Amino acid sequence: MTHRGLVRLAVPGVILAGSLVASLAIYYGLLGSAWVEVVAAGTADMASRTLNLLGASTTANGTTLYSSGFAVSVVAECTALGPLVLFTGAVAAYPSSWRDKGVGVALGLVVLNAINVLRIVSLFWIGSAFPEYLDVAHLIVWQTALVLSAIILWLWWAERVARARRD
Amino acid sequence: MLGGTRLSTFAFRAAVSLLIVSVLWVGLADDYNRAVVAVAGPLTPAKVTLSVLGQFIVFDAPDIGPLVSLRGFALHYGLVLVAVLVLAAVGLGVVSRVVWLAILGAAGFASHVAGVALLAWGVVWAGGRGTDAWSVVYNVYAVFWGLVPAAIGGFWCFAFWLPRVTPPRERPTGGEGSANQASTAP
Repeated sequence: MTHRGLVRLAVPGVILAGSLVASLAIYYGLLGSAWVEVVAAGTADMASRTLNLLGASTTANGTTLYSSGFAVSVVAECTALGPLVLFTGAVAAYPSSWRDKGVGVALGLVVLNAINVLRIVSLFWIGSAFPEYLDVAHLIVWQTALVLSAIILWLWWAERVARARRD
Repeated sequence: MLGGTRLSTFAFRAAVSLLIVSVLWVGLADDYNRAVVAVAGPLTPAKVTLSVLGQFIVFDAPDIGPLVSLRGFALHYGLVLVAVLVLAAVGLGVVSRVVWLAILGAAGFASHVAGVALLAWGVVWAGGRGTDAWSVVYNVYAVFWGLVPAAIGGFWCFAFWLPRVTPPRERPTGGEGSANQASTAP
């Protein structure tokens, strides 16, 4: 393999690595900001509405979601912000048109937020009914599931972009 | 890239692997915490005493500030994530999976030891400096446990897994500027 060939293969990896590092820095910069509080409150509100649609009786007050017997505080790590920032970095790094990148980011915003609301709803139910399983469900299962969802979504989006390029 | 069938297979395998690995991990978590603390202990400042209390890793620095603890599961999720990715990835052989599990597991353990030791140094640094310093420590830690494993897992998929299962002509290469250029391998 020629030097040029090695460079052409390595460049996408370097670009992705750089984009992911930049995403980590952006996420760090967002932590503690007022904007994150708005996102967290919005997440609590959406989760409360969803729970109430399913028959529960919950209230969202700022970033706190509570019922008569259980309450949770939605912090920055409980939003889809982290995985979404990384997902956006991966979308930005993949060779594609600006339109495709915009579609990808919008897709991530909708899908990852929906999955995250599902996460909060299920954790609220687990915390109410089976509190002994809450830590595992919260920190191991759902944290991993949310990141896996972001990876799978990116793979699906990249596949669509690559297929459109071939056609 | 993967194609619809292999992507669906990967997603299904990932869901099943996640449930199995999570259940198995619950039985190993406390021992893992003890191993991390045993190795990280000598790397921490003398003012901080590390200990394990159930799933919590406790940083006791009475001369500096309040007791700090972190949930071990918050660290462990990174190991679970990379294990699930390796187990679920289509197109890899058994030997390749075992090798990657060993490499990523060892790297994960090393990063957890380093992270716990650095957090102990962060506790010493932040003690007596006010809430802004504590915010820096906690936010750096939040990025470390929350997103670094995700970034590593995603990079592994892109740099090591996908090239194995993607035909050369479909791989993205350097020099592409827009979607209208076909990706070609040299």
